[in-house]
Amino acid sequence: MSRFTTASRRQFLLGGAALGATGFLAACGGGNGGTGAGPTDGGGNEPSGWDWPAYQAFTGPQPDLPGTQDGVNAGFLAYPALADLVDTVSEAPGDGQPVTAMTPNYNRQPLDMDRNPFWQGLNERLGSVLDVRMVPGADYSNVFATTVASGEMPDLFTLYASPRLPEFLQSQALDLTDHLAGDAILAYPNLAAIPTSAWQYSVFGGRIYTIPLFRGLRTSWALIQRSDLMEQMGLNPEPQSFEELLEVAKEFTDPSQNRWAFSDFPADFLRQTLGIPNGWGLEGDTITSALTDERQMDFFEAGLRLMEAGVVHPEAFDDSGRKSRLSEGQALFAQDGLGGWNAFYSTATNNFPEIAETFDIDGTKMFDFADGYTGRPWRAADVLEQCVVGASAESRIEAVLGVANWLAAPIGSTEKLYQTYGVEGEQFEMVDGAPKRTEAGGDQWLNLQLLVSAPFAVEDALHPHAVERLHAFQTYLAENAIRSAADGLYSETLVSDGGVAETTFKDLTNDIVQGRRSVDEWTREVDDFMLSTGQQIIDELTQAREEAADA
Amino acid sequence: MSTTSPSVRNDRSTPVGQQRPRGPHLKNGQPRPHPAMQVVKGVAVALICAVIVMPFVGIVATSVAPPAQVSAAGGFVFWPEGIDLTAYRSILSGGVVTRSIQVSLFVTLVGTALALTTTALLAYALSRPSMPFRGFALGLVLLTLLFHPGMIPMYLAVKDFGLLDTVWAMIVPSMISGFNVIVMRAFFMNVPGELTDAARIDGAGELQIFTRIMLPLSKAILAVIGLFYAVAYWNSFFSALLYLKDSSLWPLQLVLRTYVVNNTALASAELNVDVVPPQASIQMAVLVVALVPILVVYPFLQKHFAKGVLTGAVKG
Repeated sequence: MSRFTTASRRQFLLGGAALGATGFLAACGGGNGGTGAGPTDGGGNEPSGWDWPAYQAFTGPQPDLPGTQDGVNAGFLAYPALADLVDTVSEAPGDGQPVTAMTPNYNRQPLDMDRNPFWQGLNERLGSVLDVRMVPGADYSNVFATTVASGEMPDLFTLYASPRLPEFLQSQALDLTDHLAGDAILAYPNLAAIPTSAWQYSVFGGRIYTIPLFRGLRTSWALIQRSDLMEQMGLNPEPQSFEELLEVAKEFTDPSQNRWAFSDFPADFLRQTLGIPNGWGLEGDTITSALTDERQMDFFEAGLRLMEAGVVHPEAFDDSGRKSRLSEGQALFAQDGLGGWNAFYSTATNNFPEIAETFDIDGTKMFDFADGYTGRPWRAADVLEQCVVGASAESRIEAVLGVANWLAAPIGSTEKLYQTYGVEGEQFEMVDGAPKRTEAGGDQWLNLQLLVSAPFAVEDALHPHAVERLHAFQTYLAENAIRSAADGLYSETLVSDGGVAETTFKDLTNDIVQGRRSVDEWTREVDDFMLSTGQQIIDELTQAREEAADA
Repeated sequence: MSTTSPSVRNDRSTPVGQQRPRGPHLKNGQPRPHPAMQVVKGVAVALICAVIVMPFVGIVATSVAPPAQVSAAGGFVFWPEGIDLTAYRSILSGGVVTRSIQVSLFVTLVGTALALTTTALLAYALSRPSMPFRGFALGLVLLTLLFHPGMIPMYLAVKDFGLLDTVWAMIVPSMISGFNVIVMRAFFMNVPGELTDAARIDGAGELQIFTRIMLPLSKAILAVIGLFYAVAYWNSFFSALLYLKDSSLWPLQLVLRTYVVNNTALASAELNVDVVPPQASIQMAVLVVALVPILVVYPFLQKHFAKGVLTGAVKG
């Protein structure tokens, strides 16, 4: 169940729910704008009094593989020619006054502004000093809490999943509805290029309070397989049932060669083959929990068979080596987020040059567990992070939104080139037709992609094949994957208690398939959870869903 | 001939007139252990040492091992197949680290000096029976051991004192540790009263008694408490994280921590991070950089350590 551990890095950024992208208790941010059937269906459910922000596609250099509003990320097989880049902003948006900001940072801490030409150049382009606090990502929750306590929220900040989020936003954030609803957003063309469906995550109390960072299917998880090993060993890359999967796994597994089929225990994938709902299901108008699904017993039976067959790596329940085992060929399958797709290729290029030429991965296509079951892949929330405009910026909202608009410029724009790489010859150089940061550029760079961003796109000139593979698999998921019924709905109890429950049931699953606890305990624990918390969550989600329908 | 029973033979105090037991003996009269037993003990000690030392060896080895070897080994190696300093270059390449070392040194040195001064003054005052409201003041100190104010109240206090975004925010809030005050007070209370009485008869005031009598007698406890404070200041990062928006004031530990946190494969893929060494290499290099100063200081204070801690801890 390694997915949960890695997803935890993102959890704190969820604007509206403290949970991972998919899973038993999955939900996503957003207020009452969602429909429960999925944000993409919600575009027609305009809340009363205002229209959803208009969508206006970017007209500059287009990607080699187009993205979709349904979440397939645009793919660039090479960086657009610098001569073709276009300006999306005609003049510096700032008003000369500093714009304060706060965002998590997972990169090297940049040089401070006084000694940082990149930062100074960014200020010039913005027309305001961007006084941004780059908080180490893992500690963002603590800094966020103390900043809230101090009552000094910056002008722009990345939202953290706080208790009583709607109330927090109504008191500490600006209502952006009048500035972004309908055609008003066209004054900020880069924000207008965010798919309409993403704005449903931004609605709290019937108003728009955040700017969504649209990741699309990048947030979803899959059972990644080593295609090259499949081909070399003549294995079936598309098993059509659990038995066929087990057969492939047994063929690959050879402990004497340090090979096990599964790097981690494929709990999510198995549940998907059984047709278990994506966290929260919908039966008619009733929201149900995947925990109570009767097919969970079939899952445990299958899981125990996998473990008994010895095809799961002995350290499968230790997340630390999950990816590396796949990279090194110790495993054939590993669950992972699609956001880490290209990193597998980079790892092979840098650490395993002897296999880099042939290295290849793909997502495992879904199949029916057996006759009588309908396997469906899951997809996660399209939006994890959200940007908030602090209440202090009320008197200069246009300037602050202008800065956000500048930062949301997509690939193909001069603004994005500067934001990502800086100036050629100073912070980056062109290497094989693609910009590459110099060492000085790396020291200076501010990664603001978790503050405001254009819809995520995949660009990897070194591994164009990886981009193609990912795009194809995302297209497959977009056509087949199901969302959580809680996607786009807000539940206070889910935010406050869901994280603990997620961990509890993850641990219980691990214990059961390892034979430490009996399957009977699952039913008992689930019953307790539903009595204490689960039903409350369902009631809140149902209420949110009804409010969305009435809006 | 020997009439001594085996149980008596092991008794150190052989009665007068009785013959000492046969066989090789140590100077203290203990029979020399059998060679086989000595071997067993030696092996056991070696194993224990290995258990303690091997992690450190692994940390250093992993930090300098080639990236391919670290990846192939699953993240931890004991013997590098070459020396690759990429991980160290990665964390030490930025000017940020250099400045953060200066900040850490300032915080550690100045913080420790101030902390020792204030702690010693408070502990001395609390050790004097004549101090007014001594019980109440001592109660306040003990209260801090039982109840921690919590993150947000501390933040608001630091903010109200105007310490936010200053290096003093890392020093002042942790300048007095209740535990250290209690330990030092116990030490002072064990200094014979005759010494202070004699000084007082000679005309010395409290300050003179403190500086000329107490402190010179307290080198051991000062060394130990100073070490406690220094280690705490050197390792602290959380106060900087909360109180400092200006990253140019960040101490080394906080800067290095970002490298540990940042280096996930997910981040490198999603956030356009340049290719970096394996996460394990970076983490181990960070550990080495963070550990070295403390490891260097410890041996010099070791002789004071046991004496100081024992004196302060068991008496009073």
